[in-house]
Amino acid sequence: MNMKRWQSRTGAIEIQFNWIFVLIIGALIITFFVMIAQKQKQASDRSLAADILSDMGLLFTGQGVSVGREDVLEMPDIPIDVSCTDFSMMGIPKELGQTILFAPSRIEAEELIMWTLSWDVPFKVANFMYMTGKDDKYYVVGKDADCNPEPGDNSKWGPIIDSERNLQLGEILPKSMDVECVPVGNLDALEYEKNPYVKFVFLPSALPPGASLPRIPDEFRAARVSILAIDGDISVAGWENGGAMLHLSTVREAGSTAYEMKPFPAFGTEAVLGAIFASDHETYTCMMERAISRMRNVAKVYKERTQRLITYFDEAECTRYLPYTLLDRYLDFPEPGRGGSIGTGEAASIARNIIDILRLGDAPLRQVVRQAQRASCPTMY
Amino acid sequence: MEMTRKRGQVKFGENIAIMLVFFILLAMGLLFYGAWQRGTIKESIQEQFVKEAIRIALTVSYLPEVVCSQDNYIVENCFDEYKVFALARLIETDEEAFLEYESLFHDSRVTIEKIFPPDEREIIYLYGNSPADDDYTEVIPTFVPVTLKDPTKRLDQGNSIAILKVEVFR
Repeated sequence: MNMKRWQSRTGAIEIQFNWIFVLIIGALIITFFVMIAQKQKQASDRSLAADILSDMGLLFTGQGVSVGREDVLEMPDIPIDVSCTDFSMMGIPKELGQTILFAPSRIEAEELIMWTLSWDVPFKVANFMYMTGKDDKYYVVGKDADCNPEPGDNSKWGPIIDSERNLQLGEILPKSMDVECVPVGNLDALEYEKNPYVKFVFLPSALPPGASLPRIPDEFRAARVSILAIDGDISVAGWENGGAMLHLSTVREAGSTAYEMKPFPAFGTEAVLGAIFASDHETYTCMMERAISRMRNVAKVYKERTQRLITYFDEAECTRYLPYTLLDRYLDFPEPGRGGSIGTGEAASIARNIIDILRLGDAPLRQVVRQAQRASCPTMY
Repeated sequence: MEMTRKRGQVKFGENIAIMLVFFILLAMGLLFYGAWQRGTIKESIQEQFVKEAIRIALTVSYLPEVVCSQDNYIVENCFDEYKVFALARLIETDEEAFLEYESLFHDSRVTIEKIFPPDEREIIYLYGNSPADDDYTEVIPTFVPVTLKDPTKRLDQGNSIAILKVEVFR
């Protein structure tokens, strides 16, 4: 009797032990597979990010060779971080090299807008690339007249930004971009539309001389905010010709109210547009310094080429159309940012220098090239 | 009683053996999967390298410093001979400029070989940053036929046929 009871108790223990054993091993096996699945997902996301980055690198090259292109790309749910030296996804960086890219520091959107313009000074230096997310919002703040589009064409608003082609700001910006022109008086009534990134662009008309920057409504504290104020006062050539002073902020992170404004002189319409897309003063300065460095190299190539041409033609008629000293202005171009360490006064003096280059370098070069074309001589650029 | 204990021990041993076989099979599966993944990664790295070679070739082909232009009107697949010489000299003599172009072309060699007319055959070295002979394992050459234009000659008289050769090293 006792023996039987003992045996049945051992059996019960054995069954319990088996179940506990199965449970522990089962849990271990499930944990193991869950871990593998997680690792695999991470690896697959990273591989996808690496593929996208590589394709985007090729796309930048493609954009770099075609002008005025506007592409809208569908993106996976992975944010893109852009800095001065690289762009990255999931911490995987891809070098920008000599690409001049103006973009928010972080893009979180299902669709990516890419746009290209050629930067000519007047000779072509490089293509400027602009990138933003379709969910990012741009508010252009001006006076009432700036924001009233011409009847029949909703894109015809804002000041003339390209005086050569007589294009208004609303006409020149990519159509797929979320831009809204707001009269400065209506700024307080603006409603936050839950965009991850918001840029406020204050036109010179919204900022009378000496006026301080209007306050950004408190609602926008939930977004990453960046500010650009265009000071047209300094311009002799008119800010629409690029001769303006730009005041760019640092990015105001969500939940914060702290930001700082720093000056930078503009150089051409494409550079003003670059400031609209750029996230902050630091990356804008970095991109413009890269652009100016390329400009010096291109000018050096043109100078050497022109001198060779003069040697070849010697005293012939064509040498009249090869005044290579005009290129010296581009070689001695001032350092515009010096790592963002310059003050407003110094930036203003550099901006005046730049305007001089625009006026004294650009126009004569264009003129001499046209004269050379008429005389069937080689052109300087 | 002794019998029951033995039976229990045998059962426990069986369980352990099953687990052992299961984990051996799992380990083998993982090994095969790892080997396959390594192959995929290698393929992907090779693909990136090929893409990089294409990117560099494309960049050179449209570089404003070398392409034929007239008042910013760019002629495709055409290099200005004088611009090519000027850029080659700039890269060779100006260290700062070399470093800038290095960030564009990395470890590569860019040459332009004039092949026609036959009596004017010439090789112009535009950029060279090739590693020492034993410092690279692979080289991908890309060839692009281009027109080489002599700007001193009128219209089509000064055009030669050339091959742009971009060799990317790894």
